[in-house]
Amino acid sequence: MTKHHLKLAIGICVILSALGYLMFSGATGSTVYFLTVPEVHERAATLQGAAIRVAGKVTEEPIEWDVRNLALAFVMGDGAARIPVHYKGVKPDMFRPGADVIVEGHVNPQGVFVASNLMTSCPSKYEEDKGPTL
Amino acid sequence: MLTLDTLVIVLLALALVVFLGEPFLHPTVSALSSGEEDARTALTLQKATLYTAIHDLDFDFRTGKVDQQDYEELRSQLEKEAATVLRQLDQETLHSSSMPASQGQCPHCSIPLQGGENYCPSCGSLLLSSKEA
Amino acid sequence: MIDIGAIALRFAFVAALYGVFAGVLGGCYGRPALVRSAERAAHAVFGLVSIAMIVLLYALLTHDFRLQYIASVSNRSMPLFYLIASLWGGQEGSMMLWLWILVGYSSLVTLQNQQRNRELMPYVVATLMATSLLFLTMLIFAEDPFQQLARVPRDGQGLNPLLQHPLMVIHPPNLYLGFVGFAVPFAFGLGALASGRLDNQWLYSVRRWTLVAWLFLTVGILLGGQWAYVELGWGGYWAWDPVENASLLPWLTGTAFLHSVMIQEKKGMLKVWNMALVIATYGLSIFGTFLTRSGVISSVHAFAQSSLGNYFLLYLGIALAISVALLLKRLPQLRSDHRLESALSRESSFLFNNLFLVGMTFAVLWGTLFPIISEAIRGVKISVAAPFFNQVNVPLGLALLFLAGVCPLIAWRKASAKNLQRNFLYPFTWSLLSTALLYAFGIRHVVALIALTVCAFTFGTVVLEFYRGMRVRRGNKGWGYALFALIGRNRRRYGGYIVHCGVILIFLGITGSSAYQIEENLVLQRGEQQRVGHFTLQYDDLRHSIQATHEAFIATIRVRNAEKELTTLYPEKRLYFAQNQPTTEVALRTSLLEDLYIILAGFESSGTITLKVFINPLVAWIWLGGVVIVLGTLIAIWPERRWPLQQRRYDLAAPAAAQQEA
Repeated sequence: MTKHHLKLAIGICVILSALGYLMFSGATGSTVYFLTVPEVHERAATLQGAAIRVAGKVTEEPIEWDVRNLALAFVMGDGAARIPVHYKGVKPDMFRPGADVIVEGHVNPQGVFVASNLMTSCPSKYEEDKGPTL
Repeated sequence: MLTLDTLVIVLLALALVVFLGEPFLHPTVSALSSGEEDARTALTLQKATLYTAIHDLDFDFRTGKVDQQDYEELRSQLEKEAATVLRQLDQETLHSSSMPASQGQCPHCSIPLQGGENYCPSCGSLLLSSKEA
Repeated sequence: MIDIGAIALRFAFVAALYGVFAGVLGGCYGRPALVRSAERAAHAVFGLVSIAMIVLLYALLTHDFRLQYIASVSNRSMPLFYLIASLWGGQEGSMMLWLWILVGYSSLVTLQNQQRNRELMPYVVATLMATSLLFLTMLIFAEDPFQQLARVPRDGQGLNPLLQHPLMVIHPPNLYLGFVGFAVPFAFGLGALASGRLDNQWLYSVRRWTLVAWLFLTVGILLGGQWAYVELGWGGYWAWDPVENASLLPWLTGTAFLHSVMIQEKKGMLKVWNMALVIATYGLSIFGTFLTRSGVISSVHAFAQSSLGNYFLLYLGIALAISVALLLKRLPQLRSDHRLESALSRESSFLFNNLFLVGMTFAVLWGTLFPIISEAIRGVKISVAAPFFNQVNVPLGLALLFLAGVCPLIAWRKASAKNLQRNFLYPFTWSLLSTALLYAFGIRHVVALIALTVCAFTFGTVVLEFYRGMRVRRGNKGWGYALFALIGRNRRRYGGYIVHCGVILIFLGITGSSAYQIEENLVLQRGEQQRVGHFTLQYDDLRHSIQATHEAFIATIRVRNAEKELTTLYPEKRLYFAQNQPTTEVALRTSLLEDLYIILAGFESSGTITLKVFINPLVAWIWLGGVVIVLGTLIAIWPERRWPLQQRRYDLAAPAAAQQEA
């Protein structure tokens, strides 16, 4: 390998390692397990308040919405598994019983999911029953 | 039953077949380019690129982006490359004007040829010269 | 009538299939008639798909609810503008639009090249027809827009009110015009590989197509960000959502391709790299479409979950396999004409530009696909949030911006100390000065300072280029003439500089709104006022209003700055009857300095309201930057008075002749 090929190779290696470092350090800060509600209960012991992301539906159980403090309390479920959620922030427009939600946060020692982030998915135009087709 | 839809299907199908099949009825003369034309276009392209590069370099020198020494060095290099390309182009032109490009017979439809054609006047397919074949 | 549309699509399928085979066979065996027939097939497919589009549009306008698609995406009470836009409001219709643009482009490309690129065209047509086949297959066998309902409803469901917004209407078509546009350079690249015509001819032929596609994609992405900002009401414009990332990926490689082709044109280097880039851009466009529609990654943008994923993946696999095979076959003929001589040269700065862009692509792709990868490997889904993307892309983005300043001035082949000093002394000094000034004015945020310094540096280099050029072009006439003459003579270069200026504006906007955003929650009684930042917000009243399509709760907020009355804002909460869907209407006051962004988070029967207020500095600069980018790209695309590669008269032995060139 000629000298300038070597210099070029070193330069590229430096850039690639910098990229790798950035990705690694960025990832360790913000990767979260993506679980379903039953999985949260299964792994409750091992999770120990770690940051996780959970997908589920808003159940029919009563929803508490404190407008002044922007505090929302509801129960999230998936089949039979349930978990209560507390969220501080604006109630999303699509939020209602039966809506699909994704929450980010952790489970506190009392078994309540404290959410730092709450997302409802944009309702697909086709979730409603399409009706019998020809 | 001749419904509107059946009629439409039939008409569309017919139109499609006619539209797609029509090229097979006339032998086209403006066919794929021959090997020599390729070389010429490629060289012309190269020449134009080099001319543009020289033009840009001249401008860069006038704006002061490139200093005298670098300018002369780069320009002489570009000039050399351009001269080579021009020489090759001259050879190509010389070569193509004197050479009959084709053999005695069209390889596709077998009609006799006079020589000097790039395409068969009967079936329109391209003819490679004996050198490139 | 409806059936004509379905029939047209099926005929288009047949014609496209024919086009693929006719093109490939005609090219391989040198049969001009077959090639002409294949080109006709491209036109035929465009005609047939247009028929299908017209039928669909007609059904939409006449409220023909026999069609399942029409019933789900429109209703009788929608205004005409949104009625037309609902054509691409759902899965089937938006795929039809994608397809129609693709076959429209195919027909146009074929028309443009009737007398040119004859060696490449058979394969270009075949590739474009093959891409159309993917969408035709899905539209016929999976998501049929002409599917009819057994029971015709009286009225349709109507378009989701979130989509009934002008920005959202033009955002998908722009994106598609961009995504689809990249199919053309790809087709030419494959044509070059398949035919063996590996000189730069294919690059020149696709130069404008690539720029146009890139422009539409850029505008589409910016429009999406703007819509998210004004409609979704979370205070931001980009969330690194998988669907957003899907549109960014081909943009990153497309930008890399736009730059690296210059190296191939001028120095004959990076030939293999350029092929790989154009293949990657095409692949990422298709992949992005797949990500958005298959539901394989959860996202707030989710379309219906569907089996479309398999079609996309199968097609992608085949397309990539063929492309790579062709590339490997021609590898020996793709040797560089020149070598890279120094790490400090214009060639190397282009190379670094590409490395950074591809690095960003890789990082974004990795982060987006991580949940699937981790599930496949470890059985548990791990997702990656915004901080990851920001942490990787901010440094790389700034490095890129820095390169944009270095590259135009640094010398070819090897930059000497003299060259560096001559060209970079002023910009460096200027950027350090501006940093010192900013620091003195109180800017202490580290990343913001670095970003602003780099912006200043790159802007300084652009100004220097323009100044030098205008000084030469001026002669005896004025500076205005100088500017026009300068840009007119070299549109590509100076158009590109203007685009870079637009990028600088965007960086400034992102820096301001990220580093200095203010966010607060306010609880206000009727008549109460509170301060946020330097604004005073006074809550006057909460009205309840009932409209044709929705009911609304509207708060009246008067905005003051010190004692001066600025404006009145009306944040709303709406409930749309047809879809039983609540929406939040953000109240926005935009100025060059900052945006005042107010959301009505909730209210009580007593009239007490809760507001979420953001102050976002410099956001308007992002949209302004977009406008500048459009302007610069248009300049770069505009044909020059003389065909730029036309022969110029040069006396090669006399450099002094250049002096006479006015």
